[in-house]
Amino acid sequence: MSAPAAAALQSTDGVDVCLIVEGCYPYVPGGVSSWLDWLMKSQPETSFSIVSLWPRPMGLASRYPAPANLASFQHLYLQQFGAKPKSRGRVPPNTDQLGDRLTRLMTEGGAAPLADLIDELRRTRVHMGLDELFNSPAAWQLVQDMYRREMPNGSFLHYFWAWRALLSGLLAVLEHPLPKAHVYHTISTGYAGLLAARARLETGRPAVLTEHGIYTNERRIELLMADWVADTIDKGHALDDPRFDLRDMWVRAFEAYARTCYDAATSIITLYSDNQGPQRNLGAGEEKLAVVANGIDVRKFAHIAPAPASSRPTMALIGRVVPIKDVKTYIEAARILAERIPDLRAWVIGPVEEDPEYDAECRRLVAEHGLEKTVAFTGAVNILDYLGQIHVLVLTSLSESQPLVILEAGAAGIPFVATDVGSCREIIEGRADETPHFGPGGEITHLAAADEIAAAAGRLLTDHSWRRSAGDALKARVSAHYTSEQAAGAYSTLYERLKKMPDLSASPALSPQGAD
Amino acid sequence: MTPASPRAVNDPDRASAHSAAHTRDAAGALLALAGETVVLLLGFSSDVAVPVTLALHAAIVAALGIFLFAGREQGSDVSMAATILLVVMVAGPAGAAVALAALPLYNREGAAPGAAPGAASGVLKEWYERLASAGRPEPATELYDRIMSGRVPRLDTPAPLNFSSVIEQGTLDERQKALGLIARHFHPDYTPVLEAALKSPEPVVRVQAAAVVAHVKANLKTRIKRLSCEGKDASGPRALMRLGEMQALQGCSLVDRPEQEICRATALGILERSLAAGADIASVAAVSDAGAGAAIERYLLNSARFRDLRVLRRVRSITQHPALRLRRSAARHAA
Repeated sequence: MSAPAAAALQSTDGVDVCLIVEGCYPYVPGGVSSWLDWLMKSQPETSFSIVSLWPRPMGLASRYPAPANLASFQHLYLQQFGAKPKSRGRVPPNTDQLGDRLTRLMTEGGAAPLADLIDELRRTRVHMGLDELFNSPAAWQLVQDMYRREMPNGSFLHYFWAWRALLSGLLAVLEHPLPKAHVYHTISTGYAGLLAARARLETGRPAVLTEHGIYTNERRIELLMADWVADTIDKGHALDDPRFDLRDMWVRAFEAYARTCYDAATSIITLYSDNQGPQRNLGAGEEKLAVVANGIDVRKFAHIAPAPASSRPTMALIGRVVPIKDVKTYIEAARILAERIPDLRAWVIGPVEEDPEYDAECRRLVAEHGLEKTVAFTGAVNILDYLGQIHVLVLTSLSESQPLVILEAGAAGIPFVATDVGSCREIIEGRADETPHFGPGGEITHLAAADEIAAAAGRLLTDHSWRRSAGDALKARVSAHYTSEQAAGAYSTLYERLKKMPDLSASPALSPQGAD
Repeated sequence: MTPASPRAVNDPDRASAHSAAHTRDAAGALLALAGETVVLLLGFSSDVAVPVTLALHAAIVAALGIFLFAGREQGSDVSMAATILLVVMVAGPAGAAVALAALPLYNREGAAPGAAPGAASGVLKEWYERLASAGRPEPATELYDRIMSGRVPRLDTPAPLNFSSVIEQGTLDERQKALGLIARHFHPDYTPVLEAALKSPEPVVRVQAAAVVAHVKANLKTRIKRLSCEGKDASGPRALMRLGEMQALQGCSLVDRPEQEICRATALGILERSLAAGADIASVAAVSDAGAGAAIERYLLNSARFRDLRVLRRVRSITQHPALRLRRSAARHAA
């Protein structure tokens, strides 16, 4: 993997902020990577270092040139841990204690169990390195003990490999040399969150978490559906069977890691308030929670005039033509609406190359409904050339976090119809505590509800005063709450405050007295 | 499988055969060492001509070959015997000495995955075979293992909850688990549950339901492709067993219209081939499940084959309620 060439800014005190990221920057473009690039560029006075977590070297090329304030860049590989086994492996005397502490961290989580584990591992290191431990008779003893405690009914063979995968990541995180920094900022829980928690415990410096999506929930959804996780216990369709299986083990470990990160973090930020529910459920303290929404450069859209009422009624979906955007529901909505508004124009604006099969299916659906004169696929274009002709924008996505397209439409004064995902409701209808309240900027519908979407878009297309007032409200809300200057200012203020904080009291277990 | 107590595989016949072969290899190498040493000493003597020495060496090699290979069990491991023969042939006494020294090492190496004697090697062998999925135990043994490990459904487990109620009133954990089960074991009858979950007031549930819908839709495409491939020229009772599924998929809102058409066409093809004039309706009826039965009934009705329809219904009635039918039959006979 070719890491971005980082500037040599790091002083002996370390950088201002160490960003800890997993599976994105700088190799996967878009989403969180773009946000990280924006964050560093928006804080030119702040020096950064990055620890980028990956399962193993992926052979990807960096997609972002390093900003001038990026001082250092490190990789941390989670699944490459472990030394070559020795022919005469030893078992350290504290193996039982180590098993207890590992079990506690991987099942309950929390800053104290992590501190205890770090402390125990320090004792273990006296006898052998952690990489040696991982492939030693001691590890075999540990895995057997933990299996008997955690999953006695399940398949040991499956448990063994899952345990290896989980422990490899955990030990890699605990063994990685921490870059010096005044603030540690992780972009997710999981292993990145564990590293931030460890940094907080070992250095006493504050740790910040910004969650775009709720990592634990994403992993939980993925694991509950995954075919690659074997069901080694036949529970039938019972939902409350207490027997522990692999799926439970994975989910519980990620929840425990999230609890650890929430417990150790000084500040827990998310993009919208709906995300705070799952964070609270996993023990995030109310006093730590904050919302910092992403923002856009509203000046880019300020010159766009609303589409004239006399022009052809036009709605558009801006996004990639992929299943998660549920373009087929949009086409169904266009079919329903075209019966009421025969000269309707429904654009699909966005790249079509990512999923050619889905694109072909969408086009087949258009042909099947005889909508060739209504629905048009523009491909990837500059949306600024189109926004001035669009009366209503529609988002039929099945999943979103904080879609920038709503903010861009809002900045151009175009009302929006969106499904109830991510922060769509918050942007379109405003937060409950919004002052002054700007009113609705469009309508929210259920997911995959073509009739509701058609009805809402129809109201906005035919009722000019409703369209104008919704467009104005959305524009006012975006200008008031969703500018990139506001987002950058929020992080600048946060970093300044945390940099000035004295070293937080490190965990007693990790203090010099606590160590052996 | 518990790590501490895997079932030991103990095969005394095989163990004793292995031990005898090993002893024979060792004895052969020892005898070859003695013989070849003598030949070597003779070779240094000026009284014995070189061709004679070579002839003696060849004789020893031949005798060794007979000693090592004669009377061996067919299919037994001869790799060490062949190695001894080769090294003695090439290196004479030195080869025999090396072979003798290597024998204990060979025995230890060979003990792990393969043909080693005793309980310990049997445990390892089974372990390796399980890792490699090389063999499966007898079904009865496997079931016994599963019962003893506590991996089968519990007898005291209450009946599964109604998933629609779970989505409406269950805890978050229950709702998420139900959606996970639906994703892994989707049936078109679950569609209303998913639709309800998409409208849940709980954002986490909506997000998961959306992910399940995307997952299920992708899986259904593959499933329908497979069903249509398998059903292309298929006919007979086995093919008819797929009708129920195709029937359900035709009416599932998560299946796109073109795919619904594929299901319809495939199902019709199977029906036409399987129920062509002269087909044995009784045997078809006996194997078809409820879904397939309904599809066959509809087909026979549409084709105005009422006689076949009566046969179908009667056979299905008997197969579904055999006890009742037999009782009635007995009563009729008595009357």
